[in-house]
Amino acid sequence: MILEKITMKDFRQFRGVQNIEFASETENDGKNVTVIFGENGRGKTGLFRAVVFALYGERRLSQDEEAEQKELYLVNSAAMEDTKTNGKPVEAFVELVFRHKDQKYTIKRSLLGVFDKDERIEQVGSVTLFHTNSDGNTLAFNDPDDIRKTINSILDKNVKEYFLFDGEKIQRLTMASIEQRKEVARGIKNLLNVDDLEKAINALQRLRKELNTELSKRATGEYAKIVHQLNQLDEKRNKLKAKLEEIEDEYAHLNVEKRKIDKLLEEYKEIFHLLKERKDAETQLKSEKEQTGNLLSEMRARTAKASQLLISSTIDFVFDSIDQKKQKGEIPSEIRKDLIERILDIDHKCICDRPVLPGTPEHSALIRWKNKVSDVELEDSALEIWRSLSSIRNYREDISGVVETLLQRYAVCRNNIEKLRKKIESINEQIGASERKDAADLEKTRENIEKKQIRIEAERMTTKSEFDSVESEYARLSEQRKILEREENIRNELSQRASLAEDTYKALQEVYKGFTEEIKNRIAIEANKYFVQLLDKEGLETLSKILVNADYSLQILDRWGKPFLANISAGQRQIMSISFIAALAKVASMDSILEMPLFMDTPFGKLSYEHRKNLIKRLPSYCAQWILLATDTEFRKQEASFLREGGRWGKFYVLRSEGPGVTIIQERDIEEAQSLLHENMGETNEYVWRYTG
Amino acid sequence: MKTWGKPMNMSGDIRVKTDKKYKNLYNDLKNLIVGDMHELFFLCACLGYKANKVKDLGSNAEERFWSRTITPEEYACYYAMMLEKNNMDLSSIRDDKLVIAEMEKYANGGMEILLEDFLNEYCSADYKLDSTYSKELPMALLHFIRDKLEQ
Repeated sequence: MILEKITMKDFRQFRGVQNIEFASETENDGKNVTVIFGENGRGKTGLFRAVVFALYGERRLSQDEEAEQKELYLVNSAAMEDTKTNGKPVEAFVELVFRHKDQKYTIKRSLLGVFDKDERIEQVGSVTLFHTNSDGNTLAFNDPDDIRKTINSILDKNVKEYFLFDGEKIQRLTMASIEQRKEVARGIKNLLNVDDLEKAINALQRLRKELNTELSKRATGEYAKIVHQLNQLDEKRNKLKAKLEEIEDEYAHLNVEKRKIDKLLEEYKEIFHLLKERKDAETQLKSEKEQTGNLLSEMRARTAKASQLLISSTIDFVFDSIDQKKQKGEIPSEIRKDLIERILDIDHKCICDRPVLPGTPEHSALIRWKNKVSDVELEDSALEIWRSLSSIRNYREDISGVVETLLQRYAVCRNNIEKLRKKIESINEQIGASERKDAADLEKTRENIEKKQIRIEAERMTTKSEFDSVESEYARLSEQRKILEREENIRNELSQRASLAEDTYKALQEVYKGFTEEIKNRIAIEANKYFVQLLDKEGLETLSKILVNADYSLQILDRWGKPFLANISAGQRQIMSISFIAALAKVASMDSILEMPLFMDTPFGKLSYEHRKNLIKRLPSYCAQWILLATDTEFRKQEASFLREGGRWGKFYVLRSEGPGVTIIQERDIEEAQSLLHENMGETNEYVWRYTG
Repeated sequence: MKTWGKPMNMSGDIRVKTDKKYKNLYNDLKNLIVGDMHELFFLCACLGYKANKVKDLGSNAEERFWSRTITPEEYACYYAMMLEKNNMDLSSIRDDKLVIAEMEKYANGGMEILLEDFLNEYCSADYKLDSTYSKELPMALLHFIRDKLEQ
């Protein structure tokens, strides 16, 4: 696939109809490089989106993982604003013209943008594909499914990210993860067209199973037993294989989650001390609140006792009065009232038997006594009241003290709570957006993911070991079966067919293994060639070679032959990945240049000056077409000069802002680049001097 | 023939009455500023007695709680109030029904003081508590009692 032209209407920042013609060696002029230059926010990634949208109808890029779907609009915002006044929907489209194997293709995809009240809605519209073959006949396709199949046959959706990529994504190819291994493996298989071989292997596997099932039904004796065991092992092996895949998928999923968290954590790094401070303040606040709750409960429990304080003077007065009566001996009475009443009213004689009759002095004396004393029960009550009041008086001071203390402690707590609330409020203001407030939980989630990964890894090892032992048992029994067939002369048609299927299956697996092994080795050799050419001086001193492992993961060795991947820089990772892609393209095209574009969005951000220089000088000859979306900080006068020197730079476009959300594409002469671009600054100049001088 | 009574009779069989219009208030304030109704009644009685504010329940009387919930200390205080009021005439505390009836009048008067001087900030005209502010009532009540002591 070689891209020739892209036309956009009201797509992302590109208002109205605008187009870009890519340098594509159509006139055999050797010009295959297009530079699209724009400052951040001018629409470079929008252009990248346009290519992906036109080819695959995908609204999202891999870097959009975090973004909310609703936040991503493809229809030009300025055009959408107009619909608010005229009420008509905006039809945006992208049309991409490309050629593949001398045949021309034009794909056009549209989408509609409307406002439903205040909500912005985008709807994917029609898609058409025109295919002009080498005879000049043109076929039109409208069925999305047909179009998808055609485009996938040209550039498989699964490998598109090897050729259409953003700077960050390319670096991920070097991350040693199961996810990456799968991605690389899928990419290699697609590019090398080994799909058919895989299909044949799968078909043979099914046939073998059917034949063995049939055979186990018909066979007898020891032979039947072995066939039955083989069938069982085969089933077990398939289950274990599926389980391994599941485990790897889960592991990969966890990796994605972990990366998302890491990204957020990186973003939240600056606010971590604030989060910790806020957590401490929240803990203190909780404790203060609990304390106020306890204090209020204590206060409630003391309301009744505090109420007693209101009648302190009454309590004192009554206590003193009874106390005085006690002192005087009036309570309890020296003579009980009921005894006097009995002498006066019933017995009419004293306890000494002396008569006490009305009118006598004795009678009058007793009447006087009777009037002085009270009921015995009332006297007892008075004494009981005196004791109770005494007790109340004793702890009165304590009650007053406790009330004061409780009120003071409560005031302190309230004050603390107020201070803590203000502190938390101030921290929240510093932290900013509410979604960032949950960052503190991220560390914990990450820890849990890692724990889960350790568990899954252990499960993977156990399952793998079980799988290996089933494999070896299967091989042993297969051998035994063959011996039995020979010894017992079992040569019926069914057993012969089963044997043949088994042997063909094994042979194909060997072919597959050998082929992919060879390809893997060739990719490694080619990747190393590119790597050496692209790597800077320092890297060459430290790093020795790229390894493509059996599971297609990438590794790099240091000068002492030790694995060094974890220690290399982001820029070195990027160079390593680009080397791998170039090697893959070369191997897939059978040592010529693969007819695929390299469409790179802002790829130089993490590259040192020398890496950048090497890439600019050499990449045009590694690929059939190079489309470079570059920003002002990575593409300056020096980079332009290197590119011009290579003689392959054919087209130069500048993305210019024309008001908010509107970008105009301007084609410029490459000779104009020097006057348009910035100077290389600072230490880079020294580098320029050293390497160009 | 007289029967021998126990000291401080503290009868538990009396239905203590309050004004029926305070029914909700008694229910709301129970557990909020006091543990039980008898404590609120005691507070009101103390307030009424201190201010010498007696208010007859008349036809508005409504039974509120059993006298058996009244603590010995509270009873001792009720008797003290009765004795002081009656010039230490011990016969004034002979009948608990009369003692409680007298305290009901003080508690009724005391509730008016509580409403006027304290609960008015937290309570609507129909004696409903505003729950927004009620959490801190125990603290506010202690402040209120402390202020009353200084008057």
